[in-house]
Amino acid sequence: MAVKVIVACGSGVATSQTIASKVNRMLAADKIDAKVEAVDLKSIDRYVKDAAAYIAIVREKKTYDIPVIDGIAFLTGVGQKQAYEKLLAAIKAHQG
Amino acid sequence: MLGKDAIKRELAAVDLGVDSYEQVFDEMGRRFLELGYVNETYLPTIKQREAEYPTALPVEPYPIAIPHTKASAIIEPFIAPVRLKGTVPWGDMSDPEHTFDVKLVVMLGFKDPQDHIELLQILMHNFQRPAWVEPLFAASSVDEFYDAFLSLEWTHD
Repeated sequence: MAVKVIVACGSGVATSQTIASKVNRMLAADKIDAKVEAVDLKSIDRYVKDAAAYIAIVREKKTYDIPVIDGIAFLTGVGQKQAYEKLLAAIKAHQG
Repeated sequence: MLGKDAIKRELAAVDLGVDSYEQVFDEMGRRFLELGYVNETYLPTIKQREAEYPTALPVEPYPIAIPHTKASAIIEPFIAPVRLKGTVPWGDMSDPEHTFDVKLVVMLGFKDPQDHIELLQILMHNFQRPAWVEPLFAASSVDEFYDAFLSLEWTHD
């Protein structure tokens, strides 16, 4: 069963899906069995339960039980490597 | 899928003399409406969306803004590259309380919600290429600016 990762942006119009598409491609290339899903920011708490990590676009002061990854890094490329590595570690931790 | 033909010469602008992001919307929104690209809901919805969920990103070397709004406001899809005369404070997508000084704004209008997924990745890919970005800032006319913008690589990694 693919590990689930969630990503949410404010309006859900564009950026979360763009990031989901990009990260899913990166994971597939590395043959990682995980899937990124774009969800509505308002329902985050519901999805957090089953997810290995939360890729956040809007930086919240709130903390979650799962690692929060910097989503903007996947858009701008700035800090992308570190964000991706943090994601891989979270996926591994979730599986183990 | 949207192609390079969505980058409209008649919607490109340089040296827009404005003091705020709302003024960018007022000026460009009027042009979009007059030329039949958007309907009357565009201006109020894009201002509202931007106020709630801002769209400036810390791409390097220069931050850029990618304002967009609901597909229902769009009649004809477009990509409108706009360079401001100076910079205006523009809300940070990751932190609405924070702003970047933005000079380059790429206004997006897509009808098909799926269009943006590829398009945004293509734009982000190019924004990280100084060879493409520098000429946008150096262009001394709208034609030069438009041609430089049009030379973007229609791909992403």
